[in-house]
Amino acid sequence: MTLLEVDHLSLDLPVDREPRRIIHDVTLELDDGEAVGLVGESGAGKSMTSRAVIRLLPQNARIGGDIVFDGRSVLAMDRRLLATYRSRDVAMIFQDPKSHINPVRTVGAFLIEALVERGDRRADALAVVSELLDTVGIREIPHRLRQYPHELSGGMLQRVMIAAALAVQPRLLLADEPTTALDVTTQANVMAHLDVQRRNRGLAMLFVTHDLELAASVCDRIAVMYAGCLVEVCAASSIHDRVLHPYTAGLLASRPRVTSRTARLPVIPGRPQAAYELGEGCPFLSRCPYALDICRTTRPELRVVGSSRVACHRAEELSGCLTDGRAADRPGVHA
Amino acid sequence: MATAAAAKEQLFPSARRRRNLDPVILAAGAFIGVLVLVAILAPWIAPYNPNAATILAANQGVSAAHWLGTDPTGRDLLSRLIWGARLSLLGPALIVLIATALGTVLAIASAWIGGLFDQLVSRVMDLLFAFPGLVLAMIAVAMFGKGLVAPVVALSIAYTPYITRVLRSAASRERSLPYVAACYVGGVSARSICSRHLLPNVFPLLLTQSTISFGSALVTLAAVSYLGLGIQPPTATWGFMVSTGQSSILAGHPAESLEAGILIVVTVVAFNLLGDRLAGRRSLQAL
Amino acid sequence: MVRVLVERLVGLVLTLLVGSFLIYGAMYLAPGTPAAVVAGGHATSSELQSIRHQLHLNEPFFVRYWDWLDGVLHGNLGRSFVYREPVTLLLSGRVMNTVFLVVFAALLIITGGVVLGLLAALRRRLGIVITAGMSVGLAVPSFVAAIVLISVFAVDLKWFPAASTGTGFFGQLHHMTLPAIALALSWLAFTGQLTKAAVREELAKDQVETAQSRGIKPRHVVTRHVLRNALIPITTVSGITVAGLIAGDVVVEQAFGINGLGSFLVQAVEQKDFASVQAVALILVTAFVVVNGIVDVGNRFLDPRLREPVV
Repeated sequence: MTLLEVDHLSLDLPVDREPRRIIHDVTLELDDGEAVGLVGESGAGKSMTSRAVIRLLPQNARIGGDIVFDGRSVLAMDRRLLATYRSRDVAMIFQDPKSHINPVRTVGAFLIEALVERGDRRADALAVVSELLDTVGIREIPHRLRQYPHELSGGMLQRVMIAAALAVQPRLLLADEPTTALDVTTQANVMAHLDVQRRNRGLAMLFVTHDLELAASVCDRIAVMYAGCLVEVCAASSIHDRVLHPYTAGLLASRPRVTSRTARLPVIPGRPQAAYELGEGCPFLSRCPYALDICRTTRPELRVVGSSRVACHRAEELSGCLTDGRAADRPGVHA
Repeated sequence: MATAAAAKEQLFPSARRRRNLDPVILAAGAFIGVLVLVAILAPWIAPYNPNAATILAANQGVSAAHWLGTDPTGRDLLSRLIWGARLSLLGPALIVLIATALGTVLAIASAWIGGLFDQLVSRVMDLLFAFPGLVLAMIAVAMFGKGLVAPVVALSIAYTPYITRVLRSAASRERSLPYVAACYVGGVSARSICSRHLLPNVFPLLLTQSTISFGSALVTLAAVSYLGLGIQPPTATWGFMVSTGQSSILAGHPAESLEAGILIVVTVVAFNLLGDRLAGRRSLQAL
Repeated sequence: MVRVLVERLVGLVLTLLVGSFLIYGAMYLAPGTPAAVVAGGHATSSELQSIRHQLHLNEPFFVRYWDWLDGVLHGNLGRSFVYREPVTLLLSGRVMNTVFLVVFAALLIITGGVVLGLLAALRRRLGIVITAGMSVGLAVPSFVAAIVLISVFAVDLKWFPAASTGTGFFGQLHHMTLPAIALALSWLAFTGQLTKAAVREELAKDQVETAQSRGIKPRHVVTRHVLRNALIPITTVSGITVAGLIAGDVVVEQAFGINGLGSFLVQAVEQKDFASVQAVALILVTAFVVVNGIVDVGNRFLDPRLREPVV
């Protein structure tokens, strides 16, 4: 059953009074209990897309298209409905817990705030969050509840944020790079807690990250964004053998591998495009080794190819040649 | 030509803005400039002798003869305001000059020498903070008598910590930058590092801080005059005019107090606006 | 936390000690001996000598300072040279007037400044008006505010009295309204501007985004996650406001003819009544240092990050 539909979403933000396009026509749906990884470089619009789902956008942003949660349009909600939607249906986990948790209020106050706000009794709320803290591996809970955010480590604080998100029993989690601001050693620990809790509760999750590999390991499907456009949506399991978009292939290839040594990692040539810089054609045009004339003139639509969806004119042709990132015939593919 | 300009605007969006002066700075600066000019040219532009009483012309309203009316002894208010500008501006100017000079030397010396000297200076400054400027000025008047000198000296001391504190932190931040160490290792003398590198780098802050202090010093010195502890009559100052005019308010002639008061307010607004703009609206950091 | 408190207390006592030394020393250094002031212009040298003896003016400086300080600590602020009465007695009827005025003004500043600053930061159109008003208000000295208020509300409209002090709490309130507004005005604008800047800064912070994402009511977001945090920078700089209130009090009492510490200080300065100047200056400086100390400790309670070093 479809829980969330992002339907032809576009977003403009004014820069010096001129609207700049941040997101181009993104369409994506999430089923109940399904985890989708939204992957891309910084500035690709993935974070903005996740914020649009909870309508947490700058006041002067202009949104096109629609976002539908469980049959209701999020963009059409009035203030009261939006507050209910935010407090009961979705919960967001932010990148940097140190700045996203109010430094002058206690950890306990942060954890129970949303519950008390919607009418739960303080004592009940404390019981709920205490239990949750335990499940995410935090000990000495009564003591922790009285502490202030600066007295906890980043990893612990992010687990507190996860507990706070779970406390409201949402149907959808939005996780915006939840481990990026943490030490490498604590990343795995926090990610494991998030993954286990999500699976146990059967929650849907939109997982925003720049780490394709990480996304593939915790999500059911992967959606790749580039320059504000969705370029490929595929099953997480097929990411290693059936990638269809040259950009996704580039992302995969430019990762270091533990199993093999290379003198130099392959990089995607050129620089990342900003969403507002795009011309007529394919967003990846300037960096794509396989670009043709049609790529210059017509922007490819997201279309079904095999079991995936991809926005590439040459998806069928290239199918199968891309997965080995260091394809020897790269220049030779020209038709 | 037009396209080149457009291209430049696109590449360096701030280039055009930088060349155009901020209208607020322009207006405030122009007002202050005119005021200073009026003060200097007082003997030539004041229509009347500011201290000549004409009892027949007492408490007159605004007229062609007396643009701003007259006081209870028939003295021309415009002339008194024009002459009053001299001491009303000279006082704060002296205060800011002395406090800035003292504060800058102390701040840069603290930042350069550091250690015990630095701590001593900041303790003394903390202590001075405990004396509100006006209280210090009143103690000085009790000691040395009324007039311009005692309050100006006292207020110069009272404003020094405000300058020192802000400049010291800026100077010591600058001092900790690697290039300063590089200069020192390269054999540049301490004095020339301080004067060629530290001072120019804190100069914008110095300018801002003294501009803001000017408005505040003007008010405090006017308060001293208002209390009757500054320059003695018949010499006009704005602060004293507010106070002498107060007795006529009850009789329904608020002109003298109001005109002097408004002039003080407008002048202070001009200095504050100028200071704010120079500070680039870093209102919290400026404190 | 305890260590911080003790440190602060020691610092406070030291500041007061040095401050009292400076105040006493200043009067000692002043040209024109107190004996001449007491005796008036035409005293013979033997009369002067006996007065000097009476006032212990022949003792060395440190002995006299110590005697004075000892007296101050026992509630004896010395004898007025002019009125020939204990300063404590002269002040007793005046202190409450001053306290009433300053507390009244402080309440106006805190409530008015924070409310206006908040509105200026949150409301777009109203904010522009308030911000402009505050820029002007900031530049209005208390004595200018006083004459405008007197001329409008006391002389023209006759709503409030122009001078003197009232009886009973509400009488006081009525009499002190204009003085308190005059005293508060520029500091209210200052606090308002500060609040606006602090609120704007906090509004842009991430914790606000978190609260919004959780569906917290806007009212609660503002009180819990914006204002609560903004109070920290506001109190940090309130020391300047306290100093301004103490200085402004002197001027406002004079402007409205209020019989308080400030007007007494002005008189004492005019008459070169050194003992009285010393006493009032010491009281004002002590008030400033103590209030600032309280604010500083209060700030540590507001900001948990300052309470103790992170281990």
